[in-house]
Amino acid sequence: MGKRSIVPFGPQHPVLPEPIHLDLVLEDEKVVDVLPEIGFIHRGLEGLVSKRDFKDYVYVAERVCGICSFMHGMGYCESVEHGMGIEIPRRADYLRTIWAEMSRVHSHLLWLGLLADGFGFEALFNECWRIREDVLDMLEATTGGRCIFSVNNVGGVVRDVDNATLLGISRKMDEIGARLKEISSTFLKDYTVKSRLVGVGILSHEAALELGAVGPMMRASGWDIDMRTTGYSAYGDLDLNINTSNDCDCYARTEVRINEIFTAIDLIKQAIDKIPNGNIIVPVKGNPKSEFLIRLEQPRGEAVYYTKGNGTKYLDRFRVRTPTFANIPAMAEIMRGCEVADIPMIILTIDPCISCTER
Amino acid sequence: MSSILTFAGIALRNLFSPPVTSRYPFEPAVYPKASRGHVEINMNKCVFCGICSQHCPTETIKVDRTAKTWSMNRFDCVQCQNCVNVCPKSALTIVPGYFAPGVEKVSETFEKPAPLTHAVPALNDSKCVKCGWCSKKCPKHAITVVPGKGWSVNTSECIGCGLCAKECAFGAIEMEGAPAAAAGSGSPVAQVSMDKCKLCGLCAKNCPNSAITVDRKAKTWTLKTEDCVGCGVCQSACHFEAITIAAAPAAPAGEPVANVDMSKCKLCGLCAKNCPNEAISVDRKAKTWTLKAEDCVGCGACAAACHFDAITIAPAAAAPAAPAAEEKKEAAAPGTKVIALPGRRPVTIPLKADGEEAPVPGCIRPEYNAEFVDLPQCDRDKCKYCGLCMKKCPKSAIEVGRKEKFWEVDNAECVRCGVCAEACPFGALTI
Repeated sequence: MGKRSIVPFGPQHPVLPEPIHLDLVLEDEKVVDVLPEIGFIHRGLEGLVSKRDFKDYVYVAERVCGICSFMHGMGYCESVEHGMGIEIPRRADYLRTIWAEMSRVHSHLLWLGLLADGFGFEALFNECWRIREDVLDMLEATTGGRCIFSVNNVGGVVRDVDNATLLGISRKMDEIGARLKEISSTFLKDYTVKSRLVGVGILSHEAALELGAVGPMMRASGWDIDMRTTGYSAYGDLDLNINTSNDCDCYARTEVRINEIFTAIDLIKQAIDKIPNGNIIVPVKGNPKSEFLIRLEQPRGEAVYYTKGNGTKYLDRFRVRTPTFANIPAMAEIMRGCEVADIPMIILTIDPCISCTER
Repeated sequence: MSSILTFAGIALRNLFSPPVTSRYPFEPAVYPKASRGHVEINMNKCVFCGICSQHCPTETIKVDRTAKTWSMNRFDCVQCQNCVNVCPKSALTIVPGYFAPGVEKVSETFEKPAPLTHAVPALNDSKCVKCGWCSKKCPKHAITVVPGKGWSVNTSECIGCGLCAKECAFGAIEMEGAPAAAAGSGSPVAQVSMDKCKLCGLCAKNCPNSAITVDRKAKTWTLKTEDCVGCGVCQSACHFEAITIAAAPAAPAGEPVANVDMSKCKLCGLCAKNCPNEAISVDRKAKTWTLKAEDCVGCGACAAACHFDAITIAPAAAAPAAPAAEEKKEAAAPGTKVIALPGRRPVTIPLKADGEEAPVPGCIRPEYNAEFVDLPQCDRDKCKYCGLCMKKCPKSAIEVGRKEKFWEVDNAECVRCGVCAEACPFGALTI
């Protein structure tokens, strides 16, 4: 038995994409214990809900995160709309679904790039982000923003996309799928890549449930839990294929995420086929009085949105439980017993988004 | 199952293909049209209502109503487009092109440009020979011509008489901008002292806008105030010093403010809630709708909020709507009431035999009850089932099926506002 030492890791570190601090208890090169710590970038966005008109707060809510921004705005809107009993136009539902799935595609591609960068495959990283750039271009052309779209509003969406553009997106998505297939073989079959991923950071089937992991973490441990099956927005009308894996390691999580991109592309195409014509927004009269809780499936997993109104234009309370927060206990658990060199891989495979965790 | 060199194909292809990136500072970046880069404001449309500043999530927009300025700190703006969405006057737009980074936060302030009260001459350079004739003719010496070279106009001196344009032999000058009449009735015009006037008619001959008529037989000198721009040509032409240029004592034209049509108003108070300056107060018990005209900026937020189209933004004149209705009332058949709104087709509403409608003083809403007016009736011979009435109905009480040839009104929902009858292009609906 070697000598124990504690190595502080983060919140700023070359391999960390996000500001999380870990106290690593090491025994030689082996990690014995991990103490995670967050709270470096708290911005008080939830408190701001009592100072902004509930319709204007959408623009604050979507700035909770820079990558899954659209779904934060959508979660807030859906929660307020359901609480007020507003039925938004079907076209708005479909547009939200299309944009949400496009966000998932770009978020997962971003993550694949970071992962490639994490195990030192610079060219693969560039290739992933090159594909992602096409998705961002489509998003900018339809919504006006690359990552933060600002198209959601209580009662619907504020920008419409004409059907010809939607068909163009559908075609472009085929192209993206073909290119992704090409690079996915490097992620899933390459000897070097597999040597870094297979058997690293095993989160067992039972531990995943016990520690309350969500999203791809959960699905890579063999649980088919996906909030999109609850049928919010237009998901009820679409055929959803839940991607799972039973390998439980970093490789399984990579595989699940790659397959989720293909599922998302499929969902976008289905939604574009089925999108009805009509209005995109309904006028909202009155102020929210009731409370409502809704669960959405974000790229990183299940997110919970809770709003409580008091009859004025300012909400009483807004609460977000982000997927990364739920995944941190599981991350600490799978780090125990691993090598120091695998830590970047393990942190990356939970796809951390500390900024939205702290809000 | 592992394999090696899985990336070699892609790497080789990339080696021999052109780069996908662009050399940005040397090649301009191309943004899609929909891109949200920065906010622009058209100050001519802005009424300083402050709605944008109230709805800005980062509170970066400041509107000063007294100083008439609109300012924003570009570095605080998050390009959410909320100000553009809420602006009632469409003065704001969001356009591609990101704001350049800087070393300190500066706030950009916009002021309302001084309104052009008159037209100014604009030169068509290809026609002008720089003869200087216009400069000699200008009563205010506002035009400077360097013979053969330059032409310029001092807009602060120019009064927009249009004499230069009239005198130019080559048709090189055109008057541009607000028509002279838009100067408003408060601006100086020609006034005559009939003691001195010999009715010679020289002034009328010299007037560039033919605003003066002199009738020697009737011994009258008449001025069309709306045509007079106060240039003073008549004054200098008069041999008898009978003409002076002075402000006409006329009522100033009002700024546009909110006007309510009490026949439509249900006193719900939504307008008062939406008014950014709290200029409207609605008293449901007293059945009154009151506007503090000095607080109203004419932004139209109340008109947009009103479910019943009861509010219009027009120059302050609560009275005109009512007399118009009064006049029409005489023409209407006995037992009916005509509601006439400016710019709309008058609607005839039959009254019940004993439904003698008392003239309502000021802004008190006429009594309404379900027996008072009947449900809208549809003449099926005239109806084309176009569905316009269904669209226009503020309470969504009408349902129309074009294929099924079906028209129905919901008694419980209908408030007998008459909007459907007004909207029907075929005159099929009566109330």
